[in-house]
Amino acid sequence: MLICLIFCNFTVKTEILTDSLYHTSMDKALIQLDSVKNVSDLFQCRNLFERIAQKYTDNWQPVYYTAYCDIEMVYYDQKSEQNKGRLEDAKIYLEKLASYSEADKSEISTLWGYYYNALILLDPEVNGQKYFGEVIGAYEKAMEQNPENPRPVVLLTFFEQYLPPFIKSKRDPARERERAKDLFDRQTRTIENPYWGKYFLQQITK
Amino acid sequence: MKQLVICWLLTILCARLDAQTNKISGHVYDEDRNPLGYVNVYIDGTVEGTSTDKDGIFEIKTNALGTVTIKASFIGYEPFSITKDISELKNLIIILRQKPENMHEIVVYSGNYLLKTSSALESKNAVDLVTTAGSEGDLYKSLSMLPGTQVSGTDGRMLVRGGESRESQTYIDGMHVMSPYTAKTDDVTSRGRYSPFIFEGINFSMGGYSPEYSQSLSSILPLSTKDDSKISKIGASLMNVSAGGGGTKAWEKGSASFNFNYTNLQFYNASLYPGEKKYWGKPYIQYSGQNQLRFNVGKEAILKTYFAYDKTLFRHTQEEPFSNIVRDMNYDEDNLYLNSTFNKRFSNRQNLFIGAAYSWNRKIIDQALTNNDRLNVSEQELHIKAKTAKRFSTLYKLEVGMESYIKDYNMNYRGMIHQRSKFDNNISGLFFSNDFSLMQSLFLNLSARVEYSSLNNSLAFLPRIALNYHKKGVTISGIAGKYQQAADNDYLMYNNRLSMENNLQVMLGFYYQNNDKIYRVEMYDKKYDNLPLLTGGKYSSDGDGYSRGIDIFFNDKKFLENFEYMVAYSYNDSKRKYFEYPVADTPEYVTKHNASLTIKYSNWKWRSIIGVTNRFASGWSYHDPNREGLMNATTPNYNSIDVSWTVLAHKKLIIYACISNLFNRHNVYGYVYSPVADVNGFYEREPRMLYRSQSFYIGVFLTLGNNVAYNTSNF
Repeated sequence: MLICLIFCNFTVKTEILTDSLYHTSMDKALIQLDSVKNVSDLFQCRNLFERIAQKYTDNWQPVYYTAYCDIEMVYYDQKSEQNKGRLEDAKIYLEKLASYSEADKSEISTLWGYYYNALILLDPEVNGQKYFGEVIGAYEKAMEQNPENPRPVVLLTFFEQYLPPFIKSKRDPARERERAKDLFDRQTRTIENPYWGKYFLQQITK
Repeated sequence: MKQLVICWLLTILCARLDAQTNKISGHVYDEDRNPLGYVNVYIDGTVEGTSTDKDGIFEIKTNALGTVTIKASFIGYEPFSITKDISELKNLIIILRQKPENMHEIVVYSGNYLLKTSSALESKNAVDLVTTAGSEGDLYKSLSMLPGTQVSGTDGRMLVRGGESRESQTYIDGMHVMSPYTAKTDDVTSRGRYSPFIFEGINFSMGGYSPEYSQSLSSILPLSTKDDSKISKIGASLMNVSAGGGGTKAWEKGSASFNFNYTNLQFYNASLYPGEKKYWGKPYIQYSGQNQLRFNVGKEAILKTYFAYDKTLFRHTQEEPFSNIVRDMNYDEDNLYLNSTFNKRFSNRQNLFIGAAYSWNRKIIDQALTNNDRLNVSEQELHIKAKTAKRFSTLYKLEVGMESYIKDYNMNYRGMIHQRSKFDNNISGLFFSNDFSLMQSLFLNLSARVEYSSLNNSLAFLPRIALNYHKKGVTISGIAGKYQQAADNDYLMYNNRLSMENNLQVMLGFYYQNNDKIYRVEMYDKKYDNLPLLTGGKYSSDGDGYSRGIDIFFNDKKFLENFEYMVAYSYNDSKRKYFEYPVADTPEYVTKHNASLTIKYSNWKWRSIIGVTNRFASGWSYHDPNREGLMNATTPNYNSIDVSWTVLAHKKLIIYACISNLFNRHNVYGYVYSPVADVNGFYEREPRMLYRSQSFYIGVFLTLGNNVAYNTSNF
């Protein structure tokens, strides 16, 4: 009885800091991200990834996804006055990724390309001239770093649709689309590596 | 049995306690009591948290007990933190403070133009001056399209708000550049040295600048090089006057850029001005190269080094008006610049900067003033600087720094007379700057500099105060400060005990900016003292003067579809009693009225950007010996129409052409009078004009690798 009393009175709830909590949190966040429908949903996801990042400082994925959500909000709501701040925030997280030696370099390069593309959306007339080279350069670097990564393939093909003909590369959009689709079909959904971007296959119309 | 029941009851009780959840709740507002939605509110060190709803309301259910820290963060706002026992964290009212925009930039708003900053998001506000016609790809020429900067006349250098060209100083990454211009002769106007691979930010300030900068009485031009470059690129350029190229190589921890240029005007002169071949013994040739290395050394620390070297050569026959002397001037100049900077940002909102720069310039001019003479001038300067800044809270930021200039000047002239001059000057300064956020939109800066000069053993205290109000795109800014600069070497040579020239500047400005439009109106008043004055054949520091005026600027990026325009007007009233002018009068390089209108038209069907600039200035003052008084006449007005055309022919090819002074108006900058009157007692004169009243440039810019090297915003 005495043992029971000691055990009960001195029960303290302890949080077990194990990998399982990190996995559960990331899994939950990614499920939420997969079902996002608007900026409000994205904001919730972004904040969740930020909370995970501030707790699990050794992992690059929460940092990556926080930046990704910031950038994605710009694509969802291109006219918002908050976009400037969102991209400033994304840049901070993107730059932080450089300090993670085990982070996937191809994914980071792809996300930089996605970021510069979002910058162009803020002011296409001015930023288009300035950053189109950065977008293309980042995606091509990502493809060199990992030829199996479908994201730079589909995003570059998508981006080039909107360029004047004399600036486009010689790539055949239909063939690139098929190549990206094939790479997407081969990837598996994990919390270790990004898997977004399949949506852009449908956006390649030309 | 009874013991078992008690034990069982206690176990259930403990289980119930263990399952008890606590609620943390509250509202989040901004400082105006507007609810803030999507704020991230969480328990520090956990993933437990939530986002506020659109009414700023949040609720967190948690099993945590005891004392916890709640944090709230939102883009654009200072993070919030509170530590209390969990039972007290109900119905919290959290007020988030907006992050003050970069305070340094706000406080020096007056007289300041921020161009192409390192923040990519400033691109919308970047006034792409280097794409405007009349810039000829030259940074200083393109800046002359801003109000307050005056047409450079025959000097080719920047003249700002009634100040001489030497009153404008250039910095690269905070370190002084002793000699930013190429050779200046009667025949070739100066061009700045500038590369699109290396430079990123241009923060031009026409007065009232931070006491971090000294030894400049009119303006400072701090250029910043890129901190980082993720993409490797390489390009080449070929123009009718030059060939060059450059590139960047990026790797994980850093990047390196280089740029080289070879200019030779022989082909240009031969094709457009064949009759002048006999005047050019050797054509104007310049070789130049720049290199920059950047390294990320540790967390938020960058080490950069920048190196530039150029050599200029030509031989040209000079004919002085009203003289039989014909000189075959031979010019040879070497210029070298090296700087190294280290920048680190700490997590406690402090940053540290350390830099060192070395400049060396040597000119050897044969037949400089007369035949068979030789002028040899060599100068060098070592600049070392350290500064640190810390933001203590959203209300206060402190910056302190110190720097030292060690200068050496050597002049040797051999001709009919032999003259030598050599002196050293050490100038050391200690500066501090306090930024206060008085209210949400009101910022105050109190700063000062203490400066010592070894040449005249002087110690000066140079204070500055600045007040800025900034809200919803409107800014009102007022600045007053004292500045000083050593007298020009040409006068220190005769009297190296000349005092530091100084001025007291007061400025007031009104600005409005939204996404597409910028409006600026600035008034300024500068009182000069200790200017070199020639009396009784000797130079003393008894000269003085003033410069006051108003600058107006409009820029509309979306005037009509595909059109952008920029209008600048400035009025300046200046008088100086200095050099050989014993009575205060308007200096010969000042014009009362200056205006420019720039229009840019983009058409992607033609793949083109076309720019037209019209520049106007009222005449320059000069002395007509045929009339009474000193500066008693004014030249005709200046007018020039410049056109440029940039074609993005292919993603890897840009074609650029520009012509200045399209209608070849013969603008007169002054007159040279005969030293003796004719038989009727009348002094004849010849107009001073640019050697070339028109110039024409055309070239191609090629990307050689895979990544686009040039973009149209570089032009």
